Amino acid sequence: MSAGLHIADLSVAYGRRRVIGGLTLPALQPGTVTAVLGPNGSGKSTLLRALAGLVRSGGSVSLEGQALERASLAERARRIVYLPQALPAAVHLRVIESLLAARNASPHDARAGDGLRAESAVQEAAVLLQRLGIDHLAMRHLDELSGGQAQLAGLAQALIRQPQVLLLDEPLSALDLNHQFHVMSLVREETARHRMVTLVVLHDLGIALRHADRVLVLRDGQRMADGPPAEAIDPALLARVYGVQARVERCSRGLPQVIVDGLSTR
Amino acid sequence: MNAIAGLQGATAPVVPPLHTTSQASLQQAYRRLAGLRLLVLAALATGIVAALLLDFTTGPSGLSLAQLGETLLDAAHAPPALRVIVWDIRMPYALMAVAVGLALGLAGAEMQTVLANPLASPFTLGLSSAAAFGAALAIVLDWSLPGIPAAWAVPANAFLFAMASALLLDLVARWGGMSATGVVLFGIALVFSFNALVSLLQFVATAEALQGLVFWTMGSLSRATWPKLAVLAVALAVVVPFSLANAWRLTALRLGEDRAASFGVDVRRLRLGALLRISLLAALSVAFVGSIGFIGLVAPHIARRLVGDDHRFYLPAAALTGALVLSLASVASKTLIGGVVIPVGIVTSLVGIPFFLAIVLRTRGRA
Repeated sequence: MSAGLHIADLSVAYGRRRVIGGLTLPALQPGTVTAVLGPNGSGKSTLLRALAGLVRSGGSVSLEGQALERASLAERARRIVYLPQALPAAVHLRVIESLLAARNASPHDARAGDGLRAESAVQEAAVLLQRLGIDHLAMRHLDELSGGQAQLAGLAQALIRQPQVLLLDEPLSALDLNHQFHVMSLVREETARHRMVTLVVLHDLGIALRHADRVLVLRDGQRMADGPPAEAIDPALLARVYGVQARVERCSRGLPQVIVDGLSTR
Repeated sequence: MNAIAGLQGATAPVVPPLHTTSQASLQQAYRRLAGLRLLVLAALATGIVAALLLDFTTGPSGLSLAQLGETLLDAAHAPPALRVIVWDIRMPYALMAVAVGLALGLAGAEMQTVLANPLASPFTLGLSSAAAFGAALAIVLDWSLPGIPAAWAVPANAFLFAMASALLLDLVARWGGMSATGVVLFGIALVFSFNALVSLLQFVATAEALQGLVFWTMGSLSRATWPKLAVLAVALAVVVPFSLANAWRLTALRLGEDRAASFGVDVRRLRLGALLRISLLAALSVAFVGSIGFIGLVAPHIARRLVGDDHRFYLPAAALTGALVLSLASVASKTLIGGVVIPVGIVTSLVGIPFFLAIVLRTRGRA
């Protein structure tokens, strides 16, 4: 009943500009991946940042029946991790060090950072990196990784905090085909393994159709559609949200694909 | 089409990682890395001891290591002249170089992290100039906050103005939505403004006060005394534990503000605490030895090269590097021109400027 993440009447404004207005959603279930879609400026990132407590918001957000509005930043951070897309330039940290920093950053974290050699933390990081298949990157510097590798390292930073809610802001932009698939399949696996509520901001409808359990489509901070990808995404929606003429057709294996024919005439 | 068909069935990455390092060897590699970094810190500390010995024995009046040893171990039986040279001049002078170096190195390192700017340092962004102006106010106009004893007016004013300009920088960096370059330009504007104000005070100052003021603009260790050294040592003893206690949070901040906040770091509080520590260290340094340039800028960069951005190692390394560089600069200031001790601030500026330019050019290349 109260399992998962509940969002009711969530609103966010930057100054006078309302970015999200009164967003209410059926519960987001543990173990599922929800793709957040919508045109630029539709409030996708803002939604994630509001859920993470990084921007002030109205309305209520509750996790497993517990309201998060009153939770301290540290308390919220123990349960929710938000991963922005960009990494600042010239960070002189190795991948494994960035994981240790992510894990030990919270002051109220029960698992203390143990000593200069951080034995148990290092072991945790090593296990995680191996599970994600990127242990060969552990001793590499963050600023020498490719975009895809940096995204995988970021995913590892988020996962080492063992969150209940994982929020990924455009993790796939600027990634090649292989890394897009790699990142998304890892997100799915880890979401299922740890029963996380995962929200991923995506631009590629094909990836949403293939990898997401549910899609949430936003425009101007309003919910335009919400549900299983194959049901929610249809030509009428694509015309309304993106202003394109498009078809949703099934490929030879029965998987739905979006084909855009042109811009819709207004 | 083939590629898509290939992707359809796969759940694992299509291209497996080139090789996998086992967990045990990864842990071993990390242990080695941490050990290496501790070794670097130890090497820096050893370097400081060596530089100190050199600094003790360098100066207008010659002093051998043997004489130094005798005077240090058995001050009562040493010749009075030697005793004065060692205990009243060389020791406070040399130790002050180390203490100020530690303070400026640490302040610069924290500042570069919390302002996310490789060009940040108390000197380049105007904290030192602000502190010098505060000190000048106390010296020339006898102005200070009510309730501050006269003896503390100079450092108190220096701290006040350093803190105010640090907060201003923070405000500009966060609320003005300024880029890294914008913050640096704003800091440079602060430098010029406060320097102009100091000049103004010089213009109206009495001859006696003027002499005291010139000392600030150059940055010199020659006024080092044991009580000043003690105050700076206490300040370091108070600040360093707080800095180190925030090491993980500062490291996480290197990953970006949003990422750090999402990892549970109260970024605003972290930044405010750091700016408070930076202002205290910068203000005391300026109040005691004047504005010594570029140590706070150069030391963090060298430290980052040596041990990376893990602040458990980076902060101590930056402090130790600052101490080592300033100690060596102190030796240089006594040996560059035979028989004359030139103000150490001149030496650090001459060495620091090319370094500063190198960082500017590299940062431009990246952006």
